[in-house]
Amino acid sequence: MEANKISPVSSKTIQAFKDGSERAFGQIFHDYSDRIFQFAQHFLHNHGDAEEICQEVFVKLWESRKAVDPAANFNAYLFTITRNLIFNRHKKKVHEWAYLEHLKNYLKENTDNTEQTVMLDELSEIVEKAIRAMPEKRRIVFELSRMKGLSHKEISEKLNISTKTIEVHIGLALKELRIVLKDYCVVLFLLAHIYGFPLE
Amino acid sequence: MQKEQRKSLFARFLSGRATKKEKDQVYSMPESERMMKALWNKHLTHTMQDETRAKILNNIYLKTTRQPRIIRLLPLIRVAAVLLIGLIIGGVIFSDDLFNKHSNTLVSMQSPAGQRTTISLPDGTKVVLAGSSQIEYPEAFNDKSREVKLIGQAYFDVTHLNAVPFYVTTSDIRVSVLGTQFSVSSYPGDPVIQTILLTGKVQITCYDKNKSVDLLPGEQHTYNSISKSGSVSKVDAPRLMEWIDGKMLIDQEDIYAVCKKLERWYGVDIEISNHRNITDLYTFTIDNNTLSEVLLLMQKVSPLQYSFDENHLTLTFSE
Repeated sequence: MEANKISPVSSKTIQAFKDGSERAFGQIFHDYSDRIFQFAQHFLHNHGDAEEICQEVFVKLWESRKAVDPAANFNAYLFTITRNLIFNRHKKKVHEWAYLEHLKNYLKENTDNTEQTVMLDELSEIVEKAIRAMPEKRRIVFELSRMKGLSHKEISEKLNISTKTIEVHIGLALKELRIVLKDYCVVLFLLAHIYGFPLE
Repeated sequence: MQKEQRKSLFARFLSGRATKKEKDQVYSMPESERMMKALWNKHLTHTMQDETRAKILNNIYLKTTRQPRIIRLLPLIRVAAVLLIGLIIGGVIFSDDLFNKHSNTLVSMQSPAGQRTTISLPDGTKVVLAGSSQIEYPEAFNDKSREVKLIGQAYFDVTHLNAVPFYVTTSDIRVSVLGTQFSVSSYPGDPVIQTILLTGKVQITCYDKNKSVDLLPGEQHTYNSISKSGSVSKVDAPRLMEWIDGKMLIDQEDIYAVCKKLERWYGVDIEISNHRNITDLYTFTIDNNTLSEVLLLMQKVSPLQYSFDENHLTLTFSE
């Protein structure tokens, strides 16, 4: 019953939890809190967000305890709750660039399908080239925002420039990215027109 | 999805132009699902600090299980109130020292007979008080040590705080911990004090002997305050802590031992009215059962009759 042990929770514990046992609930927390936190960390900008996710998962778990199936795969069940919380409810907090990085790494290590990884590598290369070509200030601001996940306020405090200036920098940076990537975005744009998809 | 479409999707993703729907498309691709599962099952390397985990757990308890009532030690409050009123009448309020710096307001929590109460201490430590038990602790722990006084029985799930030891003091012994799950039983009038360790590590200090003993998980320390001696034995700790969930195990015990446990569990007085030599042994598990249900069970073993009078149970063995 140590914390950090990657052992499946026994169905006895799950049944007890389902019946309302706080001790079983505490045990599940000990067994899974780090896993949920570690998972969340991959996709969110900061520890605080990952901690909040961890908290919400367990609150949600407790509230829906009567619906738990002690015979089903509990590990998969917790995964589903966590994934849904991050990618549905807290979509806005997801660090998109980190996400693609993880996807790229996973595909590199796990598939023979080089097409995807080549595609992602190509796109990353274009983006990195464009960022390197930006004027210093703009590059730093953009990196702090997109890579480090800092808010405009945090960047303003760190670099000692106004939030308005930051907005301008980021606006220009995104515009440059769109220009270099526009050939790739065009296809979807045309398709959207043909099939009448709403664009934004 | 076509190769070109996919490329374009990622491009829009990178340039901040992806719509909500497009983002969902990326997150729900089969490759994404597999990637997420792999990351979920990955070996643990990024763990939280114990303090963070404790904070999260505390927040979870606040949002899920019920809040305990706080009973303040009356004399302290009365004094403070009188002083405050006096000062207001005097026309000036000295906001400063009256309530904080030196006053370590003590909080006293009691669990009524036959009931369990769950409490969260200021550091996130979880305490489950058994029936007829009481603990006392300061409103805020300082950064040198955390001390809790116990009368009766309680289960502790102590938040691990580096360099801030946690002490449970009873009438005869003190249990020292850093971060751990254990149970202490020290009822007034009962010469035996038991400490059972579930996880972690504790140290037991007997005041009288001024000696210390370390306990390992799965061990029980028994102190006899009459003979002033302590001993350590190996036990099935999780089994013995089932009372936290409303379960109690009676294992091959005679009527007197059983009655003693039932008295505590249900908060009743039990009297055996005829003193024949009752040698029957009882084995059963109470799982959130009423006293009547338990007595019915016992009647299957022995020819006994019972009668209730308020909080007083009388047992009569025939034949």
